[in-house]
Amino acid sequence: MGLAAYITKRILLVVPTFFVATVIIFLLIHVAPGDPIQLMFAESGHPVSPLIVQQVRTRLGLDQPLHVQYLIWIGKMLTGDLGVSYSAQFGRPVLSLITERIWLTVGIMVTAEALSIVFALALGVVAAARQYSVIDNLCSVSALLGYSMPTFWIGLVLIMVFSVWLGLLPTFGVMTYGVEFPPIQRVIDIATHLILPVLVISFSYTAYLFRMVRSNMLEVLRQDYITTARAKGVKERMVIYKHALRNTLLPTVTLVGLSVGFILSGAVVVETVFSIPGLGSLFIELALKRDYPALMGLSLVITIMVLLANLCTDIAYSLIDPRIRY
Amino acid sequence: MKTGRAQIAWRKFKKNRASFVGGGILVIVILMALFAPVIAPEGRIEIDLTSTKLPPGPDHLFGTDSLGRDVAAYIIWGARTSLMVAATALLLEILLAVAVGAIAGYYRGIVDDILMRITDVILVLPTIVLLVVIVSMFKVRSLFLIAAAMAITSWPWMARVVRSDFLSLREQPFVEAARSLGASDFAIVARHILPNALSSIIVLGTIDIAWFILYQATLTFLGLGDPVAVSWGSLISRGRNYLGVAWWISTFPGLAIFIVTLACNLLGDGLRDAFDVKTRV
Repeated sequence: MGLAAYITKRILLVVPTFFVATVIIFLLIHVAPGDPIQLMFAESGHPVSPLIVQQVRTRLGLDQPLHVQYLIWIGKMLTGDLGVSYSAQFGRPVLSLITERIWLTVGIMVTAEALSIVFALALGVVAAARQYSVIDNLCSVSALLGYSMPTFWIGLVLIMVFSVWLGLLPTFGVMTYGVEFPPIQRVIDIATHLILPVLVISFSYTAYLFRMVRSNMLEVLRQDYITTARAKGVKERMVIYKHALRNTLLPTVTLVGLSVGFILSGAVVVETVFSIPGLGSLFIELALKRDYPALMGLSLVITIMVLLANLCTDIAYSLIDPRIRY
Repeated sequence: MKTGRAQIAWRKFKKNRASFVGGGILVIVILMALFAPVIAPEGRIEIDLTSTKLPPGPDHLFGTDSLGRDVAAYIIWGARTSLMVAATALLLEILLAVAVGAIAGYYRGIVDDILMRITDVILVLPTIVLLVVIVSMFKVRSLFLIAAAMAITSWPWMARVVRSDFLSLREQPFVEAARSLGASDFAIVARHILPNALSSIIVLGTIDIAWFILYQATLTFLGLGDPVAVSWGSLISRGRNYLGVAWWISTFPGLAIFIVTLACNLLGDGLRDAFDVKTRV
């Protein structure tokens, strides 16, 4: 199978997954108890006549059978109409809410991801190459500790130490508001605001990745071709970095793609802790207001982000390892 | 055969000191939760506006919170909530996972395909996102609702492991023997296959307890938990506004979550090595 054919096949495989996901999101929100219309009016706090309730219900299509509602919804979604948020604070098209905030979240995620991959790979390889050495034990124990800490709590502790006690970093937001900065200082300003959030996300993710890289590497080091290379007199450094590392990279690529959800969950929590106006904090605000249309639209966008990341992983994997295409 | 396997596992498990420590910590926390009224009289977690935000000292080992409640006592009572919710979630998760995994692995074919496609999708979606969507649909969020939501978002992984156990076990000679003796499908599954899949369920379940404790604290922190329950997450979020003046309010309950999660992970790792279970499918 050629590369183009393989990629086409992968893309086609994403389609059914996407539709099952939309059905799950739709059903989760529609089988929940409580009438969304009543809820919508309850938010406003004014008494409303039953006639108006009925009119709104008809206008929003909520009097249609469930499968018709789903088809209408998915049709709108596919043309880019994610609906209008009905909670008081927003009241805007969901799509514009999302496009306004998505870049910040993606930026934080990509930075955290890159940092984690570098650290996890470097430490994982060194730890596995010297199994049970001091450095291996140190890294493995720290990873286990990091893996067991609640993300939001790490965030709070870091805010306490670096912002409140030492006064080195800002406590929340993405930038200092109400102050005019020249461009370069503005960049530095934003960077200092984002150091802690990025570190918190990459901390637990590095711990998770490290454990995987280390165990993958140990597995590779047990293979016969490694023994062969050593028996031939290849230098240990070459064995580790050329023969073993390359083969460890393969399962690691898959892992990175599959754990985009992990980073996204981290972003949801960390954006809330640091009051960063990204997709994660938007998601929690909408959930707290029970803004169903907006919540459905945003869940869909998150699903698409994860599926795209998985697709890219598959394609990257097939480029690195041609065997996978056959 | 069953005792033989258990004995080998026990012998391996005994050698792993870290998992022993993990198990020990869990036993202590469970005892603490059971005997909460004895160790920390209920009066200590009642609102007392005359003694708010007191620093740690002989009277209040971990200080008091913004409403004058003893942080140490609150943590002990919080352990009850955490463990109860985690145990409920675990029970529901096992029921779901075993039902789906057994049906998919035993009957195979189209049923298997459909069930596995559903697990694929749930595994792809970020757990916190799914949890938030489910929980936010309810105005009154009871602890049971939170446990049920965590079970609904977590079962696919265990179901896949159970399924792969079933796929290989159903081809074993002893299953063949039971079938030729005329045993019903239910008897084969319940009496012959399931007991052999138990070790995977125990290992994954131990690790999932850690996740359940983390998730419920996270939900509470995000404002989507049970607001009236005495829980670690609610104490941490209350302390959030006093990081500068009363660091102890958020720090200690967070440490409690950390220690219990760590204990579950240590125990789970040890059990995994002892039973030689693959947790990745």
